[in-house]
Amino acid sequence: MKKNEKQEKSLSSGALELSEQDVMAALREIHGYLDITSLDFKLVYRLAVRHAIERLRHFLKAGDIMTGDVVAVTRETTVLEVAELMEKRGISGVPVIDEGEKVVGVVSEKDLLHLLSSPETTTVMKIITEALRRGNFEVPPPRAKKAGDVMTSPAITVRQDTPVLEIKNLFSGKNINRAPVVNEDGNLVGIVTRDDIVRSSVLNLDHFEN
Amino acid sequence: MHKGTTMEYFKKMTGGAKCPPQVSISEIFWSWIGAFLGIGAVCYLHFNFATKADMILIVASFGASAVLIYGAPKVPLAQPRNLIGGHVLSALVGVTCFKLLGANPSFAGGVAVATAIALMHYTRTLHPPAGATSLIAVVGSEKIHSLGYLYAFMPVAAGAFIMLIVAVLVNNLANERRYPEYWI
Repeated sequence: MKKNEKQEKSLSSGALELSEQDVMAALREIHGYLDITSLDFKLVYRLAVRHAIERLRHFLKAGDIMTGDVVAVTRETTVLEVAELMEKRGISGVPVIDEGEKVVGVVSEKDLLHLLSSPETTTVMKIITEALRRGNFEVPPPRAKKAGDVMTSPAITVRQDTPVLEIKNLFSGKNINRAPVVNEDGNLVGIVTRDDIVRSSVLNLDHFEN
Repeated sequence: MHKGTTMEYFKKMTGGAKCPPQVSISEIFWSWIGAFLGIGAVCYLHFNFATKADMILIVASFGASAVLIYGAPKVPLAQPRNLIGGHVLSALVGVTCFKLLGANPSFAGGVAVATAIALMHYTRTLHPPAGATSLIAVVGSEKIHSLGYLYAFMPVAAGAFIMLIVAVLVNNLANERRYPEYWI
């Protein structure tokens, strides 16, 4: 409820709001007489923008905002290789695929961090707190472990035509930060992260100009 | 009914919006040309042909239609649906009111215009000059009265149609104009 009020406020103020001067300038640019006052024009505009935002919320799809250039690992990839790959690419998670390119899981920063603690240590902050308290990690990093051993599985995936709104709810509901995007055959075609969703925010004016 | 305090009621009367800007000189020019040719055509046909056949082609409300279709051709009120539909429906309403209530002209006039507005709203053919068309059917000359329902077709529909043809031909000569925005 509180969240909605916040959103409402950011829509009615700020970049999308028209000033009297904007409307008069626009009316002057249009040749011919439009039988509309600036107040009515603003009213129509505000209501129309609200509809457009509502439409975009529902009709912007995973395929529109996903990163298509996605790297994946297999179950057999060692955790060291996974960590190196993630470090090199500056990413915080990577899908795990089988021989048929089907997505079977996801390895995230969190999964790797869990390698450095006993299974009872559940949260990332707990791992860090424990490590700081001890002066070292609970367990020696098991370099030989494989992606298949640490990945979160089954992977929560989305389709290219999954609405962004649905993905948003999925992320907050399942408390995840990324979801591999798969086609009808379950093959990996991209990945959607929280970052992509933030960047695709409906207040991005590019969507209005197209 | 108005909901709110008395202050709010009076505050509504202060307005708040601004008058739209002045149009360009070319708009003024094309408004003049269109109106001159449109009304000119109707007048020419009226005085040279219609009157000789003891008929009428001019209704005073066409002057008001000219303001819209030649002066503000973008406006919904000025589109063909509104021009023809508004005039014809209002004329039918006016004639009906005169026939039924003509004995009490002040009542008939009020009912005619009010009903014309309501019907135009309902049919999405609102065209302000047509309000005058319905009123003329009630308060007009004996000659108008004697036409009966013919009034809706000649002069009203015929005259409006001539004005429409001129509007389509002339408005589209102007670079920045396009007419109509929609037909029906």
